[in-house]
Amino acid sequence: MSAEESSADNFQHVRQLFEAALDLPNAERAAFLDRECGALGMVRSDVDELLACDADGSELGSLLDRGADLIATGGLAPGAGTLGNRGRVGPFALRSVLGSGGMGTVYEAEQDEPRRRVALKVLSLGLANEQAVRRFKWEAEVLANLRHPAIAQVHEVGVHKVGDIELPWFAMELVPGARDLISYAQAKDLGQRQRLELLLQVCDAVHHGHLQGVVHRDLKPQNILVDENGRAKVIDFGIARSMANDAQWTEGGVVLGTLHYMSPEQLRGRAVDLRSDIYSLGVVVFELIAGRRPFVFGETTPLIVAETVENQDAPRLSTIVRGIDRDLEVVVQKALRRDADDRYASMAEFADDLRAFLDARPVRARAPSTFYQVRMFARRRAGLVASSAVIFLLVMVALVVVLAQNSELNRRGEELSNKNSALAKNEVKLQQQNTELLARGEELTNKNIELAASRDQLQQQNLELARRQRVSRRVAQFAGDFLHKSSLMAARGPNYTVREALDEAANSIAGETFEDAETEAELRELIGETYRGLSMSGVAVPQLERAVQLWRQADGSKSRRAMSLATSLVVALRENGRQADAEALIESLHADFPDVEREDSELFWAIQHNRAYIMRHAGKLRDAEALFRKTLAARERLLGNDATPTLVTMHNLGNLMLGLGDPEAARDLLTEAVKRARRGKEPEASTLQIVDNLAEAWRDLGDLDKAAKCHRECMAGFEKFVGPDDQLTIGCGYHLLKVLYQQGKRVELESLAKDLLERCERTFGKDDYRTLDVLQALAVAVKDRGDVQQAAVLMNRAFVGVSNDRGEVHPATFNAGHNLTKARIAASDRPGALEISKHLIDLLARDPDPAKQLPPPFPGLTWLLRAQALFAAEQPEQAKVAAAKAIELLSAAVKPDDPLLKQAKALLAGSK
Amino acid sequence: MADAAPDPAATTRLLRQVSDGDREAAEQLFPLVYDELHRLAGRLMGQERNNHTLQPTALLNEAYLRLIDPGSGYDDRGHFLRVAARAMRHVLVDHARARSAQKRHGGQRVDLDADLVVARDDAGSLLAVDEILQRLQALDPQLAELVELRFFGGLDNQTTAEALGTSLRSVERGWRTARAFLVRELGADGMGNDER
Repeated sequence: MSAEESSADNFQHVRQLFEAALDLPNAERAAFLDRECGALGMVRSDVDELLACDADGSELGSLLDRGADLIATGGLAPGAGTLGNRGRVGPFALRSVLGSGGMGTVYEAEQDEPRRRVALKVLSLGLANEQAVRRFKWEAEVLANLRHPAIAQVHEVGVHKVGDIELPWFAMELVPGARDLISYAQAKDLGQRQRLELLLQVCDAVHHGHLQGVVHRDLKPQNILVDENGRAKVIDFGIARSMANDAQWTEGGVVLGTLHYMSPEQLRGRAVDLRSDIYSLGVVVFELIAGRRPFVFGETTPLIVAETVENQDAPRLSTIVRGIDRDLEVVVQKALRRDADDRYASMAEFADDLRAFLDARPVRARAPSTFYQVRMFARRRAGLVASSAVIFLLVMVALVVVLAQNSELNRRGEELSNKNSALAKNEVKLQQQNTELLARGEELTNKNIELAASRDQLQQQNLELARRQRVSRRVAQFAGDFLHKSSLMAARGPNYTVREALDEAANSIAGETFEDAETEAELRELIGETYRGLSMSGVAVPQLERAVQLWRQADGSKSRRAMSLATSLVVALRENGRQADAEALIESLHADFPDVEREDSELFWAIQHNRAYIMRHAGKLRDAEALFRKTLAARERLLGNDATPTLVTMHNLGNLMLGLGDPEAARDLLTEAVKRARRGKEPEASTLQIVDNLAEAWRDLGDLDKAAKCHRECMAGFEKFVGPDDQLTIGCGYHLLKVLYQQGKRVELESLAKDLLERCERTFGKDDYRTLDVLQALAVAVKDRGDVQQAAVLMNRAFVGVSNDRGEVHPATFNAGHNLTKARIAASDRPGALEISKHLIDLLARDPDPAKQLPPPFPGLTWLLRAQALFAAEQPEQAKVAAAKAIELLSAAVKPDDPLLKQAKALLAGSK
Repeated sequence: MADAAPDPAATTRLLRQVSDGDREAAEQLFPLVYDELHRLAGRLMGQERNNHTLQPTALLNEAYLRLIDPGSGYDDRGHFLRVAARAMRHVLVDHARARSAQKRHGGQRVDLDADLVVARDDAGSLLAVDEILQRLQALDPQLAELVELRFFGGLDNQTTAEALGTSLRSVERGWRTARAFLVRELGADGMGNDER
C-alpha cells in the first residue's frame, strides 16, 4: 500500500511521524515509532519507507535538491551510465567505468594515436554557452602544462556533444591500481608517520601547482589517488575552477561530498586563493589522522556548512585522538584557521611544518621563527597593555627554550645509541677474538674489563640523558600549565601586562615543588632571561642568581650551564647598577675557566666579551678596547665574520671608539658591522641599532648630513619594526634631534621634538629623564624661534622634573638649571633668573663638594650664568664679583681661548 | 501573444489584487506570467541557440523585472514567486511534453555515436515528477506548493520560506518529507532504478 492511496489525513499522520523521527538519532527511531504507531501497519511501513528513502544516498535525492532545470534540459542525467561502456569520446574508446561522482563519470579509455590507456573524465554538466566552452578549453591548456610526479598528467581535453549538450572531458594519466588516499591508508593500515609522509607528497604536488598559478580548489581524498607503489597522484587539478563561474556549482546538491573539504571563503563563493587549498588539505590530514572530518553536518547545504565552519574552530585533534602530539595538533589547527590570513601563507610552509614535526624539530606554527623576534615583541610591549597573545608569546619563549633543548637531547641520544651499537659490534668482534685467541686470554680479559668500564660509562650517560629529558618534560609541563592558566587571563581585562604575567609565573614557581634542582633552575633561568629581555633587570637578577646557584648545585660550579648563565647574570647585575658585583662575578668566571679549553671555547669568549663590557663601564676604556679587539678576532676565527656574536662585539667596540674620541675608527668598524649584518641577514631591527651608532660617528666626524640620513633611516626602520612608541624608535629620534640642532634646522627640530615628546609621555611617563631630555630639546627649539616666554615655561618644567628624577646634584640637573637660567634671562624674567642661578650657586656650596660629580666646566659655567643674571638685573657690582669667580674656575677647566672664558672676561670688564 | 510586451502596470495591479485574496485576479494573472516565462524559456531553450542550462531562478527574476512595475511600490516578491513557480512548472512540463512528442515523431535528430545514448528519458522524468506532484497535491497541498517553488521554481530553502511566509526550518523539514516521497514514488515509477 502506498501513500497516494492513503487519505490526506493519513498522509499528515505519516508526515508528522516522519518529521519527528528525523529529529531523533537513527538508533532511537524504531523505539519511537513502536511507541507512536506500533511495529506493524500501513502508517508504520509508510514512515519506514520514507525514512529509508531519506537516508538513501543515491543521486536522485540530490538531483531533486537541484531542481527541475537539469532534468528538463538533460544536463545532468541522473545515475551513472550517462555514456555506455563501449562508446567513443573524441579519440578515445571507452573500456570500463572506473567511478562516478557528482561531477561526472570516469572511464578507463584507450587512445590509438599515441597508443595509450587513459582515465577519461566526462563531466556530467553541460557547459552553459560558448564563452564557457572557450574558458574551459583555455584553462585546460594551463592544466595540461602542469607536470609533477605527484600530479596526474592531463593529456588532452575536449568537449563532447550529446545532442545539443556539450560535455567537457579530460583525458588524464591512468594511475594503475589507484585507490583514494583514505582507503589506501586504511587498507595498508598505515601508521601516522607513513600517512603524513604520503600527505607530504600531496603538499609538494599542490605547491607545484600553486607556483604555476593554479589553485586546485577541490582537494579531497577522492581527488588524491595512491598507486600500487604508494605514490600519490593528485587529480582534477583546477578543474573545479574551470567550471566555477557558473552559479549552479555552488547551489543545491551538485557539490555534495565536496563541501566537507571546502574552505569557508569557498563555501561563501568569495575569492579563493592557494590558502583555500591549505584549508582543504588541513581537513584531509585531520581525517587521515583522526579517522573523521573535523565537522559533522546535519545537512549538507553550502549555507549550513558555511555557517558551521565560519562560526566554529575545528576541534583539536587531541579531543578525538588520545595522546596526539601537540605539535601536530597545532600544525593542523593552523591549516584549518577560519580566516585565511591566519593560515599558513604557502603550501611549502605547511609542508615544512609537517616535516619539522616528523623530524622532531620545532614547528613554525608553534614557535616564532626566532627567539629574537619574541624578545623584540615582548620588549616592545613592556609595561604596556598586553593581550592574551603577548602572554601566549611569553610562553612561546619558554617553549622555544624547551624545544631547542629537546632537539639537543635528541641529538645526544642519537649519538649515544650510535655509540651503543658500535660498542655492540666491538663486543662481537671481541668475542670472536676470544675464541680464536685463547692463548692471549690475559690481554682479552683486560680488554673485556675496559669494555665493561666503558659500558658503565655509557650507562651513566644514558641515565644522565634520561634525567635531562625528564627535566625538560617537566619544564614543558609547567609552561603548559602556565599557558592554561594564562588563558584565564582574558577575564582579567585589558590591563593585564606582560610584567604581571611574568610576576605570576615567578610566583607560581615559589608554589611548585620540584623533584630536582635542574627543573627549578631551568624555569628560573627562563623567567629571569625573559625579564632581562624586557629590560627589567631588577627583577631578573634574583631569578638568575637563584638559577645560577641551582645549576652550580646540580652540575658543579664549573659546568658549562652554570658558567654560561652566570655570564648573563653579569650583564643583568651591571644593568641593575651592581657594577662591583658584576665585576667580581665576571672575574671569577674568567679565573675559573679551565686553561686548556680557553682559546677555542665560545663560552670563554662570551665571558671575555662581557669582561670588556664591564671594564668599559668601570671606566677602563683602554683595557676594554684591547679585550674587545681580542674577542673580535677570536670570534671571527671561531664563528665567522658574519656571526651574530662577532657583530655584537664589533658593535660594542665601535661604540667604545666613539667614547674614546676616535670617530674615524668607530665609523670604520660600524660601517663594516652594518655591511656584515646585512650580508648575514641579521634581523633588521638589530642592524638598525648599529646604523644609529654609525650616525653618531658621522656626527662626531662633522658630516651632519650623513648623520641625519642614517638617523632618519633608523627611525623609519624602528617605527616599522618595533612601533613608533618603542624606546628604540624614540632614542633614535632623540639622536636625530641633536643633529638637527647642530644643522640649525629649527622648524624640523621643533616639530620632531613635539612629536617625540608625546611619544615619550605615552611610553615613559611625564617625569622620566628621557621625556625631560626631549622637553629641553623642544624648549631650545622654541627659544630659537623667538618664543622666549614659552621656552622659559618648558625649561622650568624640565628642570623641576630632572631635579626630582636625578637628584639636585647631577650633571643633567645642572645642565637643565643652566638652560633655565639662560631662558629666563632671554625672557627678561629677572627675578626668575636670579632665583634659579642663586639656587645652583647654593648647591655648589654643599658638602661634600658637588664639583666632583659634575663635568669640569660646570661650576665655572654656573658662576658665569649667575653673573649674567645679576648683570641683567642691573646689579653690575655683584655681577663683576660672580664673573671673577667664574674666570677663576673656568681657567682651571677649559682652554684659554674658550668662548665661556671670553664671556666671563667681558662681564668683568663691565660690558654685556 | 507570446511575443507581445507585457504591461507591467496591469500585472502589478493584478498581483496586488491576488495578494488581497482576489481569486479572479489570480486567474487573469497566471496566463500573463506563464506567457512571459514561456517566452523567456523559449529564448533559452530554442534550438538556434547554444545555451543548455535553464535556470528557473534567473527566469523568475527576469520575469519579475518585466512584469512588475518598478514605480508601483509593490514589493510582495514572495507572492509573485508562488504564482511564477506554478507557471514555471507548466512551462517546463509543456516543454518536456513537446520534446517527447518531437522524439516520437523523429522531429529531433540526436547527434550521437550509436552507443552514447543519454541513459534516461529526461523529459519523461520531469513529466513523472509532475504527475507525482499532482498526487501530492491531493494529499498535502501545502507540501505540493513547496515542491513547486523548491523544485520547479528552482528556489533555495530560504527564498522558498520567504515566498511561503514560513520559517526556514519548516521548509527544510517539509522538503525532506517531499523529497523522500518523490524518491519513493519515482523509484516505484521507474525513474530511480539506479543501476549502480
